[in-house]
Amino acid sequence: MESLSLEQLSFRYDDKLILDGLDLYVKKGEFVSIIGPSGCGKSTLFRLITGLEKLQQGMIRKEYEFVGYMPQRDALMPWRTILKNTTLPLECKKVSKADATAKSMALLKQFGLDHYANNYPRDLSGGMKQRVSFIRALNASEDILLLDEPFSALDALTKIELQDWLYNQAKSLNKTILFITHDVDEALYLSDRIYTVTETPIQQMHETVVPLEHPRIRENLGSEEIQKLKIDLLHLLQKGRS
Amino acid sequence: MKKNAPAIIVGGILLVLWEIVARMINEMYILPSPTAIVLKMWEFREALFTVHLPATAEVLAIGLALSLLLGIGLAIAMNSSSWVERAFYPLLIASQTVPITALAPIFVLWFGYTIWSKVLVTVLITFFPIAINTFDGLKSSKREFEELMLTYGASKWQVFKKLQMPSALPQLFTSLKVAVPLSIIGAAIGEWLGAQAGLGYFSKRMMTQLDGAGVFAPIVILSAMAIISVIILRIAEKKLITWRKD
Repeated sequence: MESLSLEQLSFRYDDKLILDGLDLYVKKGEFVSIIGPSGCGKSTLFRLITGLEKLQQGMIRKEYEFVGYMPQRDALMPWRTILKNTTLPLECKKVSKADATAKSMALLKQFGLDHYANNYPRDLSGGMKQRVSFIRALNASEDILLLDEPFSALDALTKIELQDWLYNQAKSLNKTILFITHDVDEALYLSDRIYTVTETPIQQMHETVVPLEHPRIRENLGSEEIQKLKIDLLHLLQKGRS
Repeated sequence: MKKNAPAIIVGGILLVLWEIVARMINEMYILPSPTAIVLKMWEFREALFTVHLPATAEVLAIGLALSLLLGIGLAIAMNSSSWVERAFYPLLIASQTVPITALAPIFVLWFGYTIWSKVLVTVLITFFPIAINTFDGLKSSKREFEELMLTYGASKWQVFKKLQMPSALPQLFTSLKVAVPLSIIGAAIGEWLGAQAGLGYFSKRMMTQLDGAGVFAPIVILSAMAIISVIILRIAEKKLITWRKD
């Protein structure tokens, strides 16, 4: 069952062709990563999926109307409390204040952030803000989440902590996730499948199934098979660069 | 209080110096001493506080209310329509260079000694900074927030209420902290030209009678009004703007 399906997607910015007949799909409950060099068109892809850009050619099929977009920087509104930041998507959907508050408080509690409900973003660390941003994205969508390099701005230790956290949440909540990253290790650890951008404009992406069982254990990343896969992917990326 | 102690000390010393110098020169019609001013305020307390202060306050209240209504209204209109923005924004900028207070005689010519001549001078001084600053504030909302809200299915009204209005608040308060003292100047000037009551009118009448303390007294009250209003605005600002943009 596909939550998201892109068919023959082509897109042009002014004169520049960014996507050229691209196909992509994500099955329900899957964690799919897209890796590719900067400026290759990954953000354009997300903008098309979220509806921020109008389709030019091709089709996008979504099982649900709204996708939960988690931007690169946390983009939490500084004038809203943590609680009100997480209820924002529900407010936009005209959910009642009581329901929105209840739902968000439950999520905040689940993620151990309920004590910060009445704090402001400036009181929180980078890692905590990303978690709040994730909760907000959960409120935005029934099922599918688009995460745009959410951990790239964090320090190495926080990054690992949040990767583990995201992996556990994704599996326990059974969410469908499309994830953009530069970090091949991150993609291998988290994903069921990886799409690699090998050329611009993007015509087809190289598709890899990650041969690891669930639940994922970090030590397994060190296996010979995975290391070889990592090197293959890095080569593909370098080819795409030139 | 500790932070303000040095300022209070220096202020106190200056007052004492003023008192001493004024007594030494002993020309009270030019340089009245602080105690002479206070005595004069007490002597005229009924006139000052029951006739003239309310008169000026009325001008200020109506003038500022009109300015806020028109200024914020125009800012919202410019924010909603690109045509309105292109029509009015250059005019607003140009009007900032016009010496508004020099236009005051025109209003006395048109509206005589009614309250409107003074209200209009006040409005003209305060309307433009409020309009421009509120508009800039509305426009300053970050694009990434707007796009995020669009992915949530937000309507244009929701984007205005939840994003643009809070984004505009800091600028609005900045313009108010400037506009309110300016409005007091505007009211005083309007009164000099065409009034029969008010603190500005009173100081001019005392001036023609060469009554130094009489001139200072209403001015002290006007200054106190300006200072108190800015303090109130600061308190309101702290309460409403609970974040700081870095």
